[in-house]
Amino acid sequence: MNPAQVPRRPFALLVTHAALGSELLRTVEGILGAQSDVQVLSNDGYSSDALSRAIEERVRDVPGDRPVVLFTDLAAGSCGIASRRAQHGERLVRKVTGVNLPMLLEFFHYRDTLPLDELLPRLEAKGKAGITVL
Amino acid sequence: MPLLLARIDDRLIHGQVVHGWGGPLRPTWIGIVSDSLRADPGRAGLYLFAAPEGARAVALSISEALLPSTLATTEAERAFLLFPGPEEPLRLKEGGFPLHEVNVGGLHHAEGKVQVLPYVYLSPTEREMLLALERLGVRLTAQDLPTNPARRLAPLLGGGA
Repeated sequence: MNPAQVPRRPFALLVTHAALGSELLRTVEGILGAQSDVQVLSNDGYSSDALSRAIEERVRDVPGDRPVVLFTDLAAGSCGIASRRAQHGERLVRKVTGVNLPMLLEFFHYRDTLPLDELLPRLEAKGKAGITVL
Repeated sequence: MPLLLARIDDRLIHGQVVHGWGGPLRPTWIGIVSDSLRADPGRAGLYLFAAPEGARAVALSISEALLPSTLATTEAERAFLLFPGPEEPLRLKEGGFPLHEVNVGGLHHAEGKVQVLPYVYLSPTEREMLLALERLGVRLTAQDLPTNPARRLAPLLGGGA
């Protein structure tokens, strides 16, 4: 399926500490190939207020009325808190904490074929299932 | 017990505080001193939710922080005090709260601020407030994480602190 023909393909915004988001994306692209409709925002240099505003600006810049899935790393960290604080008006923005590689692979693999309400529980399940103590 | 950490950090409770400082120091009580946060329960809840396991976090106005009961709590608990900027600790010190040392752990870039350290940017007003804290006998150290060396901030402020 041509992604350009898929209406309301969810856009991904990765908000993470340091270079974690860009490295996660680089790794995803190493596995699945180049991805579009995704952006990365590092918390480097941002106060809590400024990070929240930066998230709002990035989401505002997403073209059209695309839904956005906002991935953050630590729920109880600056990224998780700023993502909760950020307001997005009428746009559909779903927020997921604890981002990891299995979760992102699932997202990019299925975002064009599954509706968001089915995709999000899968992300949570895959993210958790990827953790195993051997 | 003496206050374990009094910290200026415009991110308030976040990863460095929860894991970096909270891991080794194991706080049982965290007071965020901020009039604006105290007046906004919704926003305060986002930070209080992030408190590390084993710690109870509260948002306090400056006047609440100056109550004897707050001092008693900081003495009875393994306590952290967090401030979004220099104004709050300055007003506590001026109000008689026994602050002896304040860690400047994160004041991030904004328009009109000048970089002092990679994680400390100061506006002229903030610089003056920090100098005032030093003049009141508060030792200011810059230290983002306990595993990194603490630096005296005063020599970086100018102004003959």
